[in-house]
Amino acid sequence: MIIKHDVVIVGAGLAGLRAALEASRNYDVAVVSKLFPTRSHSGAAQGGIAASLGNVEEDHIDWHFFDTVKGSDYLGDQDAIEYLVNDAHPAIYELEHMGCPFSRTPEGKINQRKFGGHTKNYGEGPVLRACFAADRTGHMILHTLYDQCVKNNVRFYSEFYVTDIIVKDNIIRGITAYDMEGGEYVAMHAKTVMFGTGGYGRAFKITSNAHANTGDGLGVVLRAGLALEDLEFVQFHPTGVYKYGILVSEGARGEGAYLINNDGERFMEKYAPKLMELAPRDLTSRSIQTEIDEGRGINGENCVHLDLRHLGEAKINERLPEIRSFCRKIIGIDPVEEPIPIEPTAHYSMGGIPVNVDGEVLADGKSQKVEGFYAAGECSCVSVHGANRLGTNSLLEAVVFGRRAGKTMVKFLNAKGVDKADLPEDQVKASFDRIEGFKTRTGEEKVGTIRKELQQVMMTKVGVYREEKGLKEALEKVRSLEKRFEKIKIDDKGMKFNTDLTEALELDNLLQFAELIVSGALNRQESRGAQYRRDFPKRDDVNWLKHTIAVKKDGKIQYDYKPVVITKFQPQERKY
Amino acid sequence: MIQVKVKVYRFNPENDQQKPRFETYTVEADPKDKVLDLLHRIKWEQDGTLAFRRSCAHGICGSCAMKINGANMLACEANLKNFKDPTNIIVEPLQSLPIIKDLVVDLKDFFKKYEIVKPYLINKTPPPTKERFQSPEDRQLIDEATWCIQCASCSTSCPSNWKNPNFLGPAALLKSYRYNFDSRDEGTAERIHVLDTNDGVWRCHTIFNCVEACPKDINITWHISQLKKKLVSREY
Amino acid sequence: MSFQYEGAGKSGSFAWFFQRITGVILFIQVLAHFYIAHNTWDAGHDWATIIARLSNPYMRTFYLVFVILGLYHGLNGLWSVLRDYHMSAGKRKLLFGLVVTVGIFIGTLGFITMLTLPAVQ
Repeated sequence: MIIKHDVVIVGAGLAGLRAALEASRNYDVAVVSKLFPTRSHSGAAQGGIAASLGNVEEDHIDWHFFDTVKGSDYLGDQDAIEYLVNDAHPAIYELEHMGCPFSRTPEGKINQRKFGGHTKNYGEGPVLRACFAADRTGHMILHTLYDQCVKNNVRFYSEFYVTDIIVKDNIIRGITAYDMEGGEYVAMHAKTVMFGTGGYGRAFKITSNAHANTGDGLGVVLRAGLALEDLEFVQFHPTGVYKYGILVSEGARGEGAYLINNDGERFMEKYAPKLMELAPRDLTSRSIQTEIDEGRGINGENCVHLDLRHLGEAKINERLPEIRSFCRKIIGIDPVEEPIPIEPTAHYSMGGIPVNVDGEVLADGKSQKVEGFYAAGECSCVSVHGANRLGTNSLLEAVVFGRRAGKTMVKFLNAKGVDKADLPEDQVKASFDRIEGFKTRTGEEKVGTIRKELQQVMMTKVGVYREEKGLKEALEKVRSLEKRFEKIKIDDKGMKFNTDLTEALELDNLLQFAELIVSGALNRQESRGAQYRRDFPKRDDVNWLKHTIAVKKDGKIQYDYKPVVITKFQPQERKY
Repeated sequence: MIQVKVKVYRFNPENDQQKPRFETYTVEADPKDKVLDLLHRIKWEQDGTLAFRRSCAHGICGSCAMKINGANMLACEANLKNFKDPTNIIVEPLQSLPIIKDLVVDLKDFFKKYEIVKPYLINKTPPPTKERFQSPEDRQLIDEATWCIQCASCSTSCPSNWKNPNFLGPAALLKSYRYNFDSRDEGTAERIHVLDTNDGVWRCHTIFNCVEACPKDINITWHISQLKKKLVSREY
Repeated sequence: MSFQYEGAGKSGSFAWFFQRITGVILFIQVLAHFYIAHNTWDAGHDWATIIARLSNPYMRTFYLVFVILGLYHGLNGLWSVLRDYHMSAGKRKLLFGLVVTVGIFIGTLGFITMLTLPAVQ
């Protein structure tokens, strides 16, 4: 079956929906997602969305600009960051006008809270910058955007698993997908395609990400022979619930929660005396891991405590109700009475599909565009986050660059019309054959086992701290898993809602780019932001102030580099 | 570690020979495990053909609502230690919706009802350059209603909905409340006719099953009764 | 059995509101009826006492209202329960007719009985 639309957007998170909303004012838009739109993982974002509105205390766009640059360890492209911090204001006011229920100040303005790495006067101390709706900010924005898309008659294809993009002569033609409910393979013919497919936390054992976050978009792009950028930068969120990885928002620390080790001390004063618990995530995660490695974990275990008790029940109920709720329900701890055991958890991918500031995908990562192909949100790399993202900047990126990509698509369609280039049938058929091929593989390997081994090795060897020996072992392991993956056995041979098949397809994607993460980390011989090499503990601006661009050709990874755009803030030593 | 017998509802639409049936699996589990962990263990280690929805695994996405030991809940939040007998678990799909496969139900109707209540802010006044003001009290009025994750636990536990699939159901009504009682909204007149019908709010007989079933602890029935009062106060 | 939006029908808000009002009035009336039947000056359960009581025009009005509101409240409740079942428009009309007929029949019977009471000697 072939479905035709002007615009096809893959992924129904914040970036996808925001772009859909923009394009649906003029064109016929379809949003394709492997989940129902409101199940997207954007909805799990808790703490807030950054904008220097200055509703509660003095704040400036320039301060936000500086913090983001410094947070990125100077790897962020400053032209893109400038768009991010400037567009933050209209983007958030628009969300408010759409009905997003932000928490309010007594005078009725959008309320703001403190967040890690966001400072006043270029690093002096924490500033109230994150606009929030209790600890359900992502949920509120996601539902608001979905509601607006319903209003604009956006066509949703829910539970369609996208398997490939069809590109020929550098022009996007459409996508192929597996319709889980209908039980058939479908091709979608479109003039423009946008990816907002999210991150890949599920490549790691301990992750704050949903089971669905397998970075399918990256796998698809890689298979199409396009480049990926800066994949070695994986953010570990400092406070994931011990053993579960469930995110406890930085908003908790923004409201004043402490990090405590086994000796009962607030250890962050050793690592970031000025910002304490509100240091950026890479630094805080490393501090926690150091405490644990040096034997100061709680009772010698792999965790430290996040203590909210002194905030009092009333404040926790008002500002952090969702955290309290899942702590009680899922781990059986009431944060009002007990501290929460936490450990760093794989959280966010700074790298992704290289795009320019208008969301246009760059085939070679530099200048060569793929006509009609766009990306925004976590799956893309603009790059505003550089080597380390600041909390609340991800929701902002998704909304701001989703909006920009939407506008670019409208401009493109206005200029070029909606007549589509042909959909090459042989490529569509090849894509379908590939899916069907998974079902007929004859081996004894189980998808679950391979995935578990992958997550284990990624967690232990490509985690917060990395070194050459471990990375080489990890690379070998990933490659051997790829070999074993060829001998998988799929129990379910049916067509309807075959999640056995989709899990295999997801694992295929995971394996594809996991190799890029590991080899990227091995390749970059310095420590910058989220990438910390024990064997190269210093930042090396002379050799490595540049983006990594990786392409996979005939199973071999090729590296290329791209300079960082620096406009206003020259690299300095990064201290908090 | 304990041995848990998990009885799972199975249905394969592509196999005519097989009627819907229960299959029992024995799974090793920690007493602190969730039912979702058990389902994963079954799927990944024993029987890959089992189909169910899940995503975030901490109660915010709303994918894994199902009937566990007779009550609707999220599998990711269903802690074994909360069951009287944690060694015997029965898992069924949500009641009253068509079944696509195993534990996966057809939610098309559920979302159609959602769309019909006009679930979006209607405000024709041009917005200010900054935000529209809303007092914390006005915000509080819609707070509980905004917690909804569209998991469908409520609507599938409602006896009025079991017998009359045209009843909008608690989830859609709650959504309607969320916008009708938003101080920034001006769309009540546009929205109200959908509620004020025989299949609208009047089919709610305050049975409170939805409140029992809601994993987010929303008092849905209270919200529906506020809609009823609003309808009456508009007309009399 | 799939969802079909049947459009704006007749508003149910009056029925719902009036059901509440009649509920409150009936509750008071039931208490009053108990009091009258068991504790008033002419307490007694024989035919003559009741006929004597009902010959008082205020009493007669009170019980006529009681009958009408009781019938409305009960049958409206029944109809509301019946409407919980999904059915074709034809069946619905038929059932509604039946409920109304029962109401009119019992109501008429009540009126006739009440208005044609024999006088007390």
